[in-house]
Amino acid sequence: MKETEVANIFLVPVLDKWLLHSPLHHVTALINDAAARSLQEKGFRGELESIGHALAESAEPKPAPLEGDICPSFLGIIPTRGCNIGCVYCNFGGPTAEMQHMDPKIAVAAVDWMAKTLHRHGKKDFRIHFFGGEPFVSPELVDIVTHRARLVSAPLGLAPYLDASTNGVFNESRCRMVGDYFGAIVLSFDGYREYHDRHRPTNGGKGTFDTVVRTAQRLSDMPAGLFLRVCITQESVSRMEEMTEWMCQEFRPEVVNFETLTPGALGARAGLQPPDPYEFARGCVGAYRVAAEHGVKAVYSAGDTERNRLSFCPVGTDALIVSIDGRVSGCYLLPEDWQRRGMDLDLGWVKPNGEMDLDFDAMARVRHIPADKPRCRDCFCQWSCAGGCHVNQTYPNSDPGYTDFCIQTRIVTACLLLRDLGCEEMVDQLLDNPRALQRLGTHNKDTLEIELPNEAMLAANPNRPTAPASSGRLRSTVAGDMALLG
Amino acid sequence: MDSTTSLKFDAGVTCRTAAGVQWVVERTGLILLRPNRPPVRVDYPEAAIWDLLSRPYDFDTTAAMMQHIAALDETAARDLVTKTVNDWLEEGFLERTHGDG
Repeated sequence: MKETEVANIFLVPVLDKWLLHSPLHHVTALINDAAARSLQEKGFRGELESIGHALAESAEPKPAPLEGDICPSFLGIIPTRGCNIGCVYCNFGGPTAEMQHMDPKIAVAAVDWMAKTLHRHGKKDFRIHFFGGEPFVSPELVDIVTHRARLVSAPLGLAPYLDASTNGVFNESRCRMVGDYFGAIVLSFDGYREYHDRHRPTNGGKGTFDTVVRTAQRLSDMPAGLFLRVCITQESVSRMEEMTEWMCQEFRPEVVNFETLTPGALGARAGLQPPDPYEFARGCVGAYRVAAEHGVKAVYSAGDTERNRLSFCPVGTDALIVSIDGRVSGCYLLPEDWQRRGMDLDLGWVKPNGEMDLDFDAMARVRHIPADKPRCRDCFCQWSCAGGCHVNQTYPNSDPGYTDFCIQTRIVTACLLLRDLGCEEMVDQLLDNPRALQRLGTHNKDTLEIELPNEAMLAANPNRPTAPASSGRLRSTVAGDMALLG
Repeated sequence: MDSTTSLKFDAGVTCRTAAGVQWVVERTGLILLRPNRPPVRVDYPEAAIWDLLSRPYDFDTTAAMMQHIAALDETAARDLVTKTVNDWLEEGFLERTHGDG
């Protein structure tokens, strides 16, 4: 049997049944215990044959490291690491970072290089994302990049798309600029006042809730997509659903994005802890439901079942992230964070004379980082979660056992797949059953080592079912208590 | 930029958008609108000048930023901003306020 066949079909325990999942075939089925045993002993025989046929059809290629010429997925600009507020859990040095700003020459050189490169590759979209610190405390730099990108894009037929991660503590004029020129804003907003003000005060300790509410209201009326990013802690996890309801009623977000607190020294000093993974998964699945009722998309970034991917984040996608000193990296975290893990995510420099100096060996090395994830080898989420943050989760020599991040991701992902199968009641039963949740969350070998029907078998069966289109959502009942989603 | 926004154009001289002037940001520039007059398209680099003055950045800051946006030296950037603002004054998109803000 080929290695790829073994690695890409998974069997995951869900209550008294099993979720058979092949992300590369876009096939998911729910089978009972007897069918699972039969599958492992005899393969795809009898009632399981139609699933076997669906899985024997050609699959999407296994996500693999990029090869060949560099064509960056986007340009990241870090105008400053400084910030105008003092989040108690900041992992970017915000409260203490110096308010230094990027030299516009560096930013312009990066924009020019990127535009030429995208044009050379025949691309049409030119995506720029501003990271921080807080990018809008460098307003001149943001405005220069915005207009330089538009100026150089027009003659090359490129369409610039700008977005930014921001704390939202800025004035109405900046809101208007964002509305006029940005495609989207990722606004850090931790929910109710009691959580937001505790997590995200000004440097003087005053709350920022009212300002951020005002910003979210203004942005709700503008064409830029509003992505509310909510950091969930042990204190706020029990209120995820009601906060989602409130946010969807109060604002007009395109997306509400939930992430758990990343453990760090500052957060710990403030008495904040990441949520219990089981509680987070329950809250997340509930929040997805509430958001959907409002026509809003809820997102937990590791639980993205809509596409297969090798990397959770920009690392390995040829994204170029330029820091204030001209350093070009594959990651927006602080260099000391990845260096502490023994990693080198630097890709080159924008030189003072404006030249882009990329190290192609470094690019090749960083492209392969997401492919080496021993912890994920037998997990059914390996092509959706993709191992999470390469620096904080699946760094080199990290413990191969599941973490809380894995547990919550496995539960959320399984619930989303069940929901896609139309098994909403089963999702509720699962979330109400702590033992079943624990079994699902900690099941350490999902890979199904089984032989698939081969081409000869397929040809011998003239009545074989038609293979589902990879983008389709065919659902059919295969046997009494089986459902197949392709 | 609405009709009450002042643009500090140069030492002692301030101007603002003329009454009724509005604008729309387009993918490749912007369009200036006046009542009962045809719309006027503004391409880059002039579109950036309109936007920066509307923030509002003052003349010196706008000129300094235009050096980077349009890849000009200091003199050329100042000349470009001066000429562009004068054109808009002449065409009636801006009006002088004689430093009264």
